[in-house]
Amino acid sequence: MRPLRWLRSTFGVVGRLGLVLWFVVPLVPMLLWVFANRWPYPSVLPTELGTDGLHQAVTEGVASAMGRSLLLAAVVALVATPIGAAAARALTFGRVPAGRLVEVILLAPIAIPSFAVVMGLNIVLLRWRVPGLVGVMTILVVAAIPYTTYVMRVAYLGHDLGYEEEARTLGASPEAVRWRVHVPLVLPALTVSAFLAFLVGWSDYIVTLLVGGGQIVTLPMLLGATTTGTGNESVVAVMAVLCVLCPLLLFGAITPIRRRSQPTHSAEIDRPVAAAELVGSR
Amino acid sequence: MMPYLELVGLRRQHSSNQPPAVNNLTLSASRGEVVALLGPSGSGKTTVLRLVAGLDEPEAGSVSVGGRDLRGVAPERRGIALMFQRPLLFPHLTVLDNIAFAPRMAGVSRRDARVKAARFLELVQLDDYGDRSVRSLSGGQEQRVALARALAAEPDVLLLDEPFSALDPSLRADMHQLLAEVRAVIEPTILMVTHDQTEATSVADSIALLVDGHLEQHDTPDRLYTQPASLVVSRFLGGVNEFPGVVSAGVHISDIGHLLVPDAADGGAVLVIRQEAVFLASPTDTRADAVGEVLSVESAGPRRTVTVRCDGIRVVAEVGPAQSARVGDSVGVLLPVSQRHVVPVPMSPAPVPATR
Repeated sequence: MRPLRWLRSTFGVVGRLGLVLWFVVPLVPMLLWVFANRWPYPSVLPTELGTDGLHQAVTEGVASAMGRSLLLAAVVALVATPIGAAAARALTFGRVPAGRLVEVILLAPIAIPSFAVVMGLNIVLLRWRVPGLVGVMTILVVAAIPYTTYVMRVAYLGHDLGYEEEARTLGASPEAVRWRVHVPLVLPALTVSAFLAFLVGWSDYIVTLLVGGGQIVTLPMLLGATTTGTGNESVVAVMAVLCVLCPLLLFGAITPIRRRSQPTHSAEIDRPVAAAELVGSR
Repeated sequence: MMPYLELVGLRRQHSSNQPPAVNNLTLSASRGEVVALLGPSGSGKTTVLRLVAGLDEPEAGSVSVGGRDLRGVAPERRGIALMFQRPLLFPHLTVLDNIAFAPRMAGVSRRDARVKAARFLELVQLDDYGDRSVRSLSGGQEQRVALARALAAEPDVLLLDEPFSALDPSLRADMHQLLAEVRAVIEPTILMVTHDQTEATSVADSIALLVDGHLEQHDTPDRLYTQPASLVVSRFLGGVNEFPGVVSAGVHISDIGHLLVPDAADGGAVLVIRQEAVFLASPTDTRADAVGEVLSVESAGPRRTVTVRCDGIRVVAEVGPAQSARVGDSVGVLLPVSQRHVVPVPMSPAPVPATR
């Protein structure tokens, strides 16, 4: 048994190392490009280091593009998360007539190619004279709702309504229950949900391009334009790194929240009871 | 005593294709009394608690506390706290803040709520646990904190839904003791659901036996055992001796013989007597109500269950280690008059001669 355990442990370490390399290695040349003033072929490393790329990126409006992206992603997260949470709660606790159908409709944006949907919606939005920014935000919120709904649905399947009932009998109004008990209990899932919605807004290119009509310059838009236009790898690298860095920092910030609010061990043991109560089988 | 908690004609049906979970339930409790709602699984016990707490609405009937009708009153405004079988401690709050939850909801400042919570934490003997995370507690400690949290709400009525059933026997006994100590200090009115007869008799002042949503009997534990209102009650509480017959002029007449039952009304009746109340004696003992042969002896710890056949009728006696009985022995059976009880039922058995 001991050699087998050693083998498993070795494979585990190698596997983890492999995964890290898989994600990190592609970023290394990009990081080098950020500080490379010159890196001609066939040199293995930059021949001249510097911050020309950074200065150039600032000149081309990377800061304002990043600001727009942050704003857009934040709005998408702020709107799509509560909608997804409300939908998931209603679906989980059986308060929606034809719940299955509603669920399929909510998740449909994942299944249907976004390009086709956006082309169709673009015409509708133009005819209704909806401003580009509002159109982009609306469509991105709709695109993010399947993710927020799905994450929250999983969370609510493990959520015990008994906590909320207990709080009511301890004198908490429905409003107090929502903010003092319900939200803290599902906060880890809400955070993940908001993060996914943020990513939908942050990384979007197609919707912003087609519906925004090129007027809304976000970071991915600027990156796309710079990549195809200038051919300046250093500037492209700066923008690409910023594209990756922001979600990574956000992910690091929410990690402590994701790990808290686990139920007590008695609640975990009694999960089947709680699940039975969810479907009203008293 | 004046009823403090009153349930009148409560009815609740969860779905139209099922019988009512609770039907026409009328029950009361005096101030400071502990009433145990006892019954088999699915008898509607928890539904009653939910109706009293306001978590479910009854289709008919009312709940009142201290004369205040609670129809349409939200759960948080009823002054009724409910402690579930699961402790349901809020995992994002410390032990102290869990207990301080109700005072905080009542508008008390955080500081004062914590001071108050500390008093209740002391009451459940967990003084040093205030700053701990609830995830660090054992099952028994969790229930103590849950009890303290419910008591900190200073409810007019405390509802306990099988609060100790998930604990092992020794912890359960500790919790019973704790509850007795809490009662001595703050005398709460308690309605407690349990399916454990031992728990009901050891904790409660009175027991309400619920079967299929109907209240079969609400009485003191002693009377419930010795004077069951129906055969359902007798059987649920483990009674096995039933002698169908008829009562005539204070005498119950059945296949086992003529047995005095003072104060019993005339008519068809089943005589019931607890197996613990039946004595075995010598077959020649003149006090014996019947003579028979021992059919079986089953050991149940220090006590034994002896089945005796008397003229085709089986009588079960639970005897202590001092009494010896072997299969095939001839024994006399004593059915003390004070322990006999008749349950009226319509029937017409053939009378048997000789009165004992």
